[in-house]
Formats: sequence, structure tokens, C-alpha cells
Amino acid sequence: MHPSDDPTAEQLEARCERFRQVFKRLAAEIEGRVVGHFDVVEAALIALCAGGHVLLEGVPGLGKTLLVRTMARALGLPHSRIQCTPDLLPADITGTITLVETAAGGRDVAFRRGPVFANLVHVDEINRATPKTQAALLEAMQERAVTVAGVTHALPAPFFVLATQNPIEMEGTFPLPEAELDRFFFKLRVAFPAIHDLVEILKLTTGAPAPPAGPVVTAEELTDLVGVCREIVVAEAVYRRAARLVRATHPDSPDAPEVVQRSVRFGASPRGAQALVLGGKVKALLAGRFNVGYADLEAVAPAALRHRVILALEAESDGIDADTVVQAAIEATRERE
Amino acid sequence: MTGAPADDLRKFLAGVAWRLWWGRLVQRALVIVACAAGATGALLLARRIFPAFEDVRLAAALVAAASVAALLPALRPVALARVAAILDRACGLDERLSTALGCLSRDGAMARLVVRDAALLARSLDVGRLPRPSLAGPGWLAAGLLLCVALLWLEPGAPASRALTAVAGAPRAPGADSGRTIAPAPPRAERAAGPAPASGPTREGRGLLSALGLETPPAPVTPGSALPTAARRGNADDRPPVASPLLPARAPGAGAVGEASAAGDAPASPSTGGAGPSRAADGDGSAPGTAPGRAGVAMGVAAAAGSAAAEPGRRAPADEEARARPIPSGAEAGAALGGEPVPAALRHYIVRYFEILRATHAGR
Repeated sequence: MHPSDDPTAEQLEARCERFRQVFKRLAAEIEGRVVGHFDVVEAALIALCAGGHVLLEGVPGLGKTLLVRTMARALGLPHSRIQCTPDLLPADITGTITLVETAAGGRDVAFRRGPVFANLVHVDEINRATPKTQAALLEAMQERAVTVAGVTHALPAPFFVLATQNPIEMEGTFPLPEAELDRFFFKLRVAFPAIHDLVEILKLTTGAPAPPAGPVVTAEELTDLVGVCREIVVAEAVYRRAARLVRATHPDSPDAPEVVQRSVRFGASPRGAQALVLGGKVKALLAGRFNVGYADLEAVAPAALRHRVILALEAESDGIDADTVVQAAIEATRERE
Repeated sequence: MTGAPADDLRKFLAGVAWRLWWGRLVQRALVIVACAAGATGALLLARRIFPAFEDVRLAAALVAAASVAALLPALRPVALARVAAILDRACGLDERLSTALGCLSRDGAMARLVVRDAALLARSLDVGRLPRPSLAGPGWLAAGLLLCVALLWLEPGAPASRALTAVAGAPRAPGADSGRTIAPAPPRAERAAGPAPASGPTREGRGLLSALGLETPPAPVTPGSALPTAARRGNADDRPPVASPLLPARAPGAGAVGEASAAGDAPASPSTGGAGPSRAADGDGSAPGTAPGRAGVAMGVAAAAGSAAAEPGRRAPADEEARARPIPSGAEAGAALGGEPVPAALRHYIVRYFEILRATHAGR
């Protein structure tokens, strides 16, 4: 950026304020249609603002697909849906070379884009796709590009993947490999709604159909918002805290609490630390601050780390899940502060 | 970064740093006082248990040096980053000040925003309401002081010692009312010159023995006796003899041999010094190794020392009478303490002391 393009503090403050307003509008628009999942909606929007992909996990019927569809509409972005099945092929996602008729009446080969070429891609029941097909998403998620027949095609920006998976029906599924799980910025658990939320859902879905969510933001605005998040300042101590938190999830680390040493096979990757800091930046911005605090890191840590921690077999037998491990790591690093 | 917000922030942090520095200094000083009191108490206890322990000055010097060394790190100024971190945590500022401090060395719109935000926040902070440095060791302080006070209270001349003396039916130890608590050990040169200080118990040891009615009275002043040694040591030991009802009888020839050997040039006297006729000094004045001194030391026998030559065969009647009495057993000593407020550990050591003393005497 040229020095003259450097925004003034007032301009930057105005952008931050606009970010907060847009975020609130988005959240309100989505929560009007998806009842009882405020935390999930906020975390999903944080991940989108940080430029990350989201994996939603929950039993059928909790509104995961509705959430993704509503988000896509509220964001006003072109979106597509991929329903994963065991016979889904990579080319069904990325696109393929087909024989097309030219205007002159001749024939030619052309690349036909797959559903991954959208700003927001909803991958439903991602663990039902075969590992080969799942792997096709890897490049798209990480590089934001796909390579077909030796030619790399860039994906549109912004590009978000919102995948869902069902944790209870494991027959005929292919658990996501760790490398792919690591590509997801957040893993969010969609919990069963409370009674009063369930009542609201019944009112919303059994009466006259509610109008669909309208777009609140454009793609350009969204790109600008993502840029604002990156401007938030992080103190050296906060970077160190994020690094220590991730290290504390490794069983061989001296900072690791006892539950981590006993129950974890592999700890979180450096991508986990990146997710912590970026998610913390959005949280700080939403709180009206221009800096990240420890509390911001701790707030996003479960969503950012739970799918990056690989538990040992003993953990399952002891009834310890990833959230317990992450919470123990948070407390261990907090005590050592 | 320069400008009003940055300067305000620097000034604010520097002010709090000064405050924290003082607080830390006071806190450290209090902890050091507690530790020093504890160490002093331990020294007093050591002197009680081991009357021969005389390197009190060295130990006290070590305690003093350790105290000064412990205080030195507290003199370092508090870093601004540390101040910012403390304020962030104490006031729940979400690391605003720490971040702003890092931004002081940066440029850019966001850094300016962060500093401005932190400076505004700092203005609204009431530094007077900041948490004061916690006294990390109030428990230690109390324990150290209590130990020290308890031991001083049990020192010879203190009420507890007088009560013990009364229970044992013995007259009060000489100098019991002097109010002195820690008697400095005689200088090394003096100790080397004469055996008397090493031969008898220390003043505190004598106080304890006196409390139990076991102190051996010094022999009457006779020409050539060991008393010149006492006189040389100063006036503290130059007191009238005290008869002890529990004074053990001494076997002839038992005495402080080491004193004679240290003394040098004169044969040991069998009279007041307790060195029997069998003890013959050799040519250079060193005495042959007869039964040495723990019993002799415990009984407070003045040694035949230095060039002093005691006259043989002269023994004070009170001394004879006292020596005729048997050494009390540990149980008797414990019974003599009765229900007096003596710490259990000290009581245990006293009982053990008399058991060993009696066994040593019987073996001789």
C-alpha cells in the first residue's frame, strides 16, 4: 500500500464500526430463521469473517442445512450444495472436461465447472463421501483453486466451505482424515435446542412459511470486512499465550495437563494457533476493541482446537472428549500466566 | 510513536511502575524480616540443644548476608511491560495496555488507535484502587516471629526459665535477671588462649541447667585455681557459686582434658578443675586422654586452664555435697519440667539429654 493510501485512524475506526454493524445485522437476519443456535451462528460468522471454513456436526434435524442455506442468502453470495454419497466422484465436485459444440458447429473440449465454483459451498454429510472425493476438497479449501487436467482454476473470492456431518450414523461413512479436518477453521457442535427454542421452531415451521432471508452484505463488503479483521493488533504476550495453548494440547509438552498426557495421541497443529489468533481478532473487533486479549483466545479455543486434537483410545473408554482436553489446556496455560 | 496519547500512556505506566516498585520493596523486606526472625529463632534453638554451638556470630553474619542478598533483586525497577500486564490482569483490560505498549514502537493507523484507546482508558483508571502487592508471607512472618519470641521467652532470665528453676527447686541461675537473651560467644583468640569457655556450658546452656537445678557451682576463688581464666573472660562468669540440689557426683579424674591440652604449659590440677591426680601433663603441657568432657562440660566444671595451677586437694564443701548427688534420669528431668509451658520438642531434647548424660556417667 502506498503511504498516501494508508488510512487515518478515524477511517480505520469507521471501518471497524461498520464491521460491527454488518456483523450484527447478519447475525440478526440468520437468527430470525435459525432459532436456538446463537452461539453456532456467531461462531460460523466469525469463521467466515476470518476467511475460514466451518465443519458443523450434529444429529439430523437440528437445522444444519437450514443454517447454511440461510447464511448463504444473508450473505448474498452465490452458493452451491454438494450432497455427499459414497459414489460421488472428485470430478462431480471440481468439474470435468467435456466435449462441447462450438458456435461454428464444430466440437471442442471445455472445462465444465463443478459446484465447488461458488462463494459459499455447502457440503452436506461430508463423511459419506469416499476419501478420494474428500481429498478433492483439500486443494479447494487450502489453495482456493482446483486443478483439472493439469490446469489450475482459481475459485471465486471469497470462498467458504460449510460442511456438515452426522456423528451418530457411522455405517457407510468415511471419517475425515486429520489433514482435511485441519483445513477447517472451526468445528461447531450443533446441540439439541432447549424447550423454549423448540417451541419457537415449531411456531416458525408449522405456520405460514416465513420469507427467506435477504442479502445483508455484498461480496465486496465481505472482502473488506475480512481485511479489517486482519488489521487488529496482537500483543507479543497474546501470541505467546496462543502458542502455549496449542503446545499444551500435545501430550509430550511440559505445559500439558495430566488429562492431555493421558488422553491425547496428537495435539493441535500450527493451523490451530492461526485459527485461535484470527478468531480472537474477530471476537475483539466485535467487543469494540482494537487488540486481542486472552479472553478472546479462550472464547474461540474449543471451536478452533477440538477437531485438531486426536484422542487416544483410553480417552474414549474414560469418557473424555476433545472439549474436555481443550478446556484442561486452557486452564493449564491460564494458571501459568 | 510520539504524540499526546503516547506520552500520556508512558507517564501513566511509569507512575504505576514507581508505585509497584515501592510495594514490592516493602513486601520483600517484610518477607526477609520474617525469614531472618525464623533463622534467629533457629539459631537460638540450636544453642539450646547444642550448648557447645558457639559460632553464633558467623551464623548471624550469614543470616544478615542472605537477607541483604535477598533484598537486592527488589531494588531493580519494574519493567513497563510488567506494569502493563499487571494492570491488564488486575483491572480486566483485556491486554489493552500491553498491546498499546507494544504499539508505541510501531507506526500506522491501527497502532495509533490502540494507543489512543489505551491512553483514554488509563485516564479513567483509579490507580489508588489497584490491588496492593499481597504479603506473600504473612504466615511465615507470624511463624518466624512467634518462634523467635517463644525462644526468647524461654531464654535464661525469662519468666519460663525462672518457672522451671522454681520447679526444680534450685536457686536461679546467676545472671538470670540480667535480661540478656543472646550472649555473644567469646572471641576465638580468647578461646584459644584458655580452655575455660570451652570447658563449661555456654551461658544459655548454664541457664537451662540451672533451670533444672543441675548447674555446677564454680569453685571458690583460690590462688592458682581456674578462676583466673574466668576473670580473664570477663565479669559475666565472676559470680558467686550456686549450689545445685541435683548436682551429680564426679568420678575422680574426670574432667576436661582437652582444655588442659589446649592450655598448654601447666599440669592440670585435680582440684577444682576436676582433673584427677592421674592426669599428668606431658612435657609440652598436653594432657593424656582421660575421660573427656561432655559430662564435665555439662556439669559446668571449670577447667584447669592455661598457666593456672590449682592447688590439689582443696574442694569447696558445697561442691562436694553437690557432687555426691546422682544424675537425674530422663524421666526425672521430664517430671521436673512438670506442666510448665515448654515446647514438646524442647522437652524431648531435655529428657534425651539427661538420659545420655546419665548413661555416660554410668559408663565411666
